[in-house]
Amino acid sequence: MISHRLRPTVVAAASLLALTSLAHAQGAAPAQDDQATIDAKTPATKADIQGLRTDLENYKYEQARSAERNRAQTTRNTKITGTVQLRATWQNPAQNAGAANGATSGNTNYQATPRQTSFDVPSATLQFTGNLYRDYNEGKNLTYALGFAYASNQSGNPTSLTSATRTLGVSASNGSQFNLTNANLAYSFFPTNGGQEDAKGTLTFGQQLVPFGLEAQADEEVRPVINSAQFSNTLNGISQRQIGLIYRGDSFVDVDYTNNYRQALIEYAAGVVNGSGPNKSDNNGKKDFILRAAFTLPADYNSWLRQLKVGASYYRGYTNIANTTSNAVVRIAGSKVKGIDISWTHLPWSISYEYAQATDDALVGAAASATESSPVYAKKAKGQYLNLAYTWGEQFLASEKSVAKYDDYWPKSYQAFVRLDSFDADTRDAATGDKTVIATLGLNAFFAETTKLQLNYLRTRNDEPTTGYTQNRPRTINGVQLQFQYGF
Amino acid sequence: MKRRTFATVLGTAPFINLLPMGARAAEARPQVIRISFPGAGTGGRPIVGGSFPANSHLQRAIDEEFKADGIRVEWKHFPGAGPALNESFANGLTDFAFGHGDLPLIVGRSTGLKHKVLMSAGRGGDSYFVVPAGSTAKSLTDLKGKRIATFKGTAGQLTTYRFFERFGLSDKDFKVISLDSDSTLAALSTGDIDGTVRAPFDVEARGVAHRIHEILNDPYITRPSTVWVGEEFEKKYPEVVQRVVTRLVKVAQWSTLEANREKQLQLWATSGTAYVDYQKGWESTKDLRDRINPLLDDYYQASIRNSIEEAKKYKLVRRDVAFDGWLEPRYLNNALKDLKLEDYWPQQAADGKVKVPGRKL
Repeated sequence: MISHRLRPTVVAAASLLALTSLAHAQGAAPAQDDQATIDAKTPATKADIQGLRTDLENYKYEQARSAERNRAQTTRNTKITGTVQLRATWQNPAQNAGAANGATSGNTNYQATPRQTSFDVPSATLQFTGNLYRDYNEGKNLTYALGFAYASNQSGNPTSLTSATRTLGVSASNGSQFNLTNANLAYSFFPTNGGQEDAKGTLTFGQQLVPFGLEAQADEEVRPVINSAQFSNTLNGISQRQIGLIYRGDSFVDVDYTNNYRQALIEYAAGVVNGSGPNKSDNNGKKDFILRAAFTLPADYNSWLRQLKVGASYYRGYTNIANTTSNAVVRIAGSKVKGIDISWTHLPWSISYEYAQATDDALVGAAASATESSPVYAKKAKGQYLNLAYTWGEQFLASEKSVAKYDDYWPKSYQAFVRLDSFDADTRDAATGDKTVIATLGLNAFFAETTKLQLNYLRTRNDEPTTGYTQNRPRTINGVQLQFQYGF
Repeated sequence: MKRRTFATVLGTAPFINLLPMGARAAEARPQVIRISFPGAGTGGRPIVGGSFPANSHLQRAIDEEFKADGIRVEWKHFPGAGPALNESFANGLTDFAFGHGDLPLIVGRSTGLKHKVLMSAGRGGDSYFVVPAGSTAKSLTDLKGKRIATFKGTAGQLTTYRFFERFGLSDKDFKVISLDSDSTLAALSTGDIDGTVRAPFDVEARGVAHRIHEILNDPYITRPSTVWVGEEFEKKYPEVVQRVVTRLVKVAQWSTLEANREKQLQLWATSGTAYVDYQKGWESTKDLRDRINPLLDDYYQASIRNSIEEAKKYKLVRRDVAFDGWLEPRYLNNALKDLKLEDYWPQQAADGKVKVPGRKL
């Protein structure tokens, strides 16, 4: 029997039931829901939105304030990069003093006594690159590059050919040079935003590396060995940046969608340049020409034949022959460089071989008495190198480099290599004392995104000059180079 | 290349007995298991959402499984998506793929990558074609000759092409450009592209873009993704593979429970994809088992076969892709049996319709 005076417990239960029903009717979460479900069903209040709005306004204020006061600004899209090399060297026998430049007479700018060791900053570069005009529709962009490089004037190393170039060459009182390296505009005639299967074609105007072989067009920061191949440092035309107009492109592109691996059957380049080197007007009335073509074997990414490339390059130039007494130019001499290269990269293995032969018109007699009718001969020089490398690690894999991480993760890689580099500045049998073979054993440790440690052991063997070996040109030189290269 | 040093002590005797004789001769356990996802969170953070393999990472389920054995689990998330995962595997740096899309999976096999398909990583869902907010296009036909973004080499490329086909068009009718997910989102905002296939909810809420087409839960447009293991790893460590699969199936089952829906949506949103994209994208999936389904059923197999034909048609592969011997369902079957989940998930016929309904809950 139910009393008409309800017991308090019944009232409480009924109230709870009513409240629960009400809560359900209003969409409140039932008691068994987890916190995530309750959160999802809980609407935001006006106070919540105001809080969020305040946070957003604070963020915008901080951004605007920081942009105005603390950030560098440029007029156009710009990327700033640079590379610095720090080097320690040892060599035996000791590097001879720079007697030819008066160093032993007390001139402190020069190396006064023989030395076996040195600490150097052989190179520091600063690069600015960016878009001047961005074509959103097709990606036919106009880009620019501006680069500067510091170079030490006392960059002595065991591979230099003569005492003067090896130890001295000081031309500035502070012992360094700071020069313009890259200064160019590039326009892409082909779309660059369509995907990897699109062919490339870019015309570059200005001061730039020349598209000859492999090493001559490798920028400072990507060269595998501390010292570049001898021929690429020496031969006329290709050993320096040039000013002119060069078109680079590729055709018959194939993409293996396994990992979006792109290969172009043909890469090509053609250009016309001054031929007088960087930061100089043309020094004669003739222009130099460059041609290059390279073929990459079509192969899947997983094929052992991937990245097998064969290239051929040709440089036709003109140099001035001067009477060294009057400094008058007596003749415009022809200069040709022909080269072939083969490279194969299938990590962990990589092989590259390059051969170059130069033919330059040279005076038969002494330059000090040269006239325009002085006879010349075709002086031939040739150089070649073979580089074999084995790499451990993942730094050269795009996937591993870009793998998502919270911290400053960067895959490490280690590379052991051996290089044989030979150069003969004059191939005539009678010309001696001008051939050098350098064997290099090296270990590169790529331990951060832009930093590597390079350790090279070099054994340099010189052929004997007619006057016999000297301190400046000993039979063999053993050298060790340790170099940190860091970039930003 | 990373080297493995192999433990010498066998610690998984109970599992060994379940395995065939050939497998017993395999090595016991690795020091590390490298599991890769074909994607990363917004801004390159190492988190992905949207699937039960993603939950296994978010919950550290595989780590927990092998913790007592001292086996480390290395998780990799590739912003370069499926193609980047292929590169990693081709260079011996990945053991398992958790959720590889159909196109990179197929292309990888066509060029000699050797893996065994273990289970489906997910399926189904809706697809939307989205254009920038200021676009006047009403249909794909209005966008002929315009820039359509997709991440080439990924499953999204084939999905986009199927979208074109559905409206009587093809990739040749558009200027198809390749952008990754983050770049596509940015390009939509700035109007640098004219359309793309992606979830519309977040971009619509922000006024950045809007949908012009939606294709809801069409098994032809969307295709299953895949969990696979490298053949070499599978041969060496079959018991490890079994434990990974069994643990994944457990996670899959947890992920299908309605009580865990919100929990996992919020976990997925930590990847940077807006919560609303997940919430609305899964709203119409009343039974989570319809999409969170690990089975290698008729639908899975037919879908991959169809994708192979499409990849050939669009010249994305140069040679045949052998289907026979690719699937290795025994690990999944063992797991379903051990966990008593053999009848838990619905089985779909080749056309995507339910062939055998899942267990009543």
